[in-house]
Amino acid sequence: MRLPGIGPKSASRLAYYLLRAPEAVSLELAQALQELKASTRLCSVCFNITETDPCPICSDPSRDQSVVCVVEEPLDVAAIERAKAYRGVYHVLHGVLSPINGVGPDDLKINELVARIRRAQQTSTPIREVILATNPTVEGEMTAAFLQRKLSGLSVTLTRLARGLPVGGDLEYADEITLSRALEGRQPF
Amino acid sequence: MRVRYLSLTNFRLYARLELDLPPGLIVVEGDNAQGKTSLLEAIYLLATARSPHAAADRQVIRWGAEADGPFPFALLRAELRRHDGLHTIELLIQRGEGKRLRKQIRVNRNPCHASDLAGWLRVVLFTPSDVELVSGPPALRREFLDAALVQVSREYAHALEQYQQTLAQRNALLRRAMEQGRPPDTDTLAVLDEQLIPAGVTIALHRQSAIAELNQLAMPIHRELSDGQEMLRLIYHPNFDPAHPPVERAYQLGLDESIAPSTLSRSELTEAFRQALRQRRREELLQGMTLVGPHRDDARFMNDGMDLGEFGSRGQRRTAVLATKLAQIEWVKMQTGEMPVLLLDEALAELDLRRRRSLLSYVARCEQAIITTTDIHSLGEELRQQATVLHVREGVVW
Repeated sequence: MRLPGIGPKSASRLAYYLLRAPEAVSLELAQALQELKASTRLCSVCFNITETDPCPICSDPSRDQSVVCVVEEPLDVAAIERAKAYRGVYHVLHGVLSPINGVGPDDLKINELVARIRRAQQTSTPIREVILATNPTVEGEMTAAFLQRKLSGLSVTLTRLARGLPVGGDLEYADEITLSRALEGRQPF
Repeated sequence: MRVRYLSLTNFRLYARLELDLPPGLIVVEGDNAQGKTSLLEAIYLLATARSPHAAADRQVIRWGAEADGPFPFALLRAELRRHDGLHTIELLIQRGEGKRLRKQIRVNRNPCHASDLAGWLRVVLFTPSDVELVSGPPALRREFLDAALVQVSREYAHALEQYQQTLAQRNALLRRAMEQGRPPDTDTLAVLDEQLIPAGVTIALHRQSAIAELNQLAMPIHRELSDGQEMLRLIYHPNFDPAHPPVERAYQLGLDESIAPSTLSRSELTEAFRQALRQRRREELLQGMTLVGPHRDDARFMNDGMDLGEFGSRGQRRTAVLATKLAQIEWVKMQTGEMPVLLLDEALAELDLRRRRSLLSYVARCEQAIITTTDIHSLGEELRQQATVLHVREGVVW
């Protein structure tokens, strides 16, 4: 079996560490691994990985339920949460469209997103804004464009994450494409 | 600009090479299969992120490099001196899972995309197989244009990368649909078309103007090489040009110059591409692949109204290619303000005295030119005295 990011050297280092450590360490690890699958599931609202359903973010009354940020993977939620700058909720697609890898719209949580928006429209807190936060790769852009088509009939504002200069970056070292995107996306100051 | 220092690790038959390169003319001498061409190939790869002979990508990692670990790699590094200072570019080619090769690029130690490598180092390559450019399949001419354009336009390099990735996705969608015997998801196809079209149009626009500019520059050079007897024209055939009949039919008509190359605007090309996709939709679904777009473009070399690829003699074809490549040197200078590095792979051997002299006049104007040869005496006394001579044997240079 292969784990992502672990090469043969790291793998043998981990194995020897566990061999030498007290038995309790490997037992604890084994138990944690077993619980990993057993005690987690997908949130029925946003499809993030969670131990409770709905997940802590969806059930947090201080979060703005009318803004939904659509991301590719659960790790992207963690990344945005680390920034502590976002007070809305999420929707995890669990991938991007990629015909090469055989991933079509039905393999992603796209229909679930449409249903979620429709459902919210019947309530007192409808969804006003959907932020498309897929990666700026060919697949990510394609998925964002696909969502734009799917969501165009629903009365929500669609926004896309800005692309441009990294904070602390230097204009001189920015590549032309990033620089021209940053110019296109310039803001009143 | 010039390459000041080149370092190769596990590249072809070089286990390890560290080489300081002086300015001016460098002659690399050695027998066949000793690593002369690989040296030029390494520099070409660093300039364009693509191999000069397309199919050979797999063997770039040295045979035997597997002993170093499960994922063998080749590492190419060059230090450049340009008008704007010193720069380091690095290309790592690593075998990953399966047969796939991963390319990692660093410019001045910062990791970046493949399309960001292009334009740091600029080269013009002359090889004995250049004559194929006229008579060979259209893919060779597209490859020539791509390699030339990515070096001078970051916008082109980016559009090409975008186009190729989108095309691969679109082909996969069509192929799967064909195999499963049901139409592809219309929204997915529409989204792919909307990404394919702007990238494809950017490619076509750049190719159109590059060919027009190369043509302008090549004409006087060609006239001189052919004693003022013949007139060379390069003609671009965008695959979705509404003004031209498809290339195949044009041959049967005996293509003449009265069909002037049209100059199309972005909006015209966008509309033409969109319409061509619509018209061929049924065929695309049947064949399970994308049938229109710049991946099917062609360009032709014409001489006094005659298609050199079809009817030219070997001598005429060689003159046409030489004129075009010399024009490319001027063109790079015109586009970027700097002369490129010239790479001449056994390129003098097949030329007669006058064509040789013409090529060497360009060599003299460049900051750096690297010539490979099996027989240093064939170069002539005068040239040998100006040059720095390097010897290559079995992947060792001295």
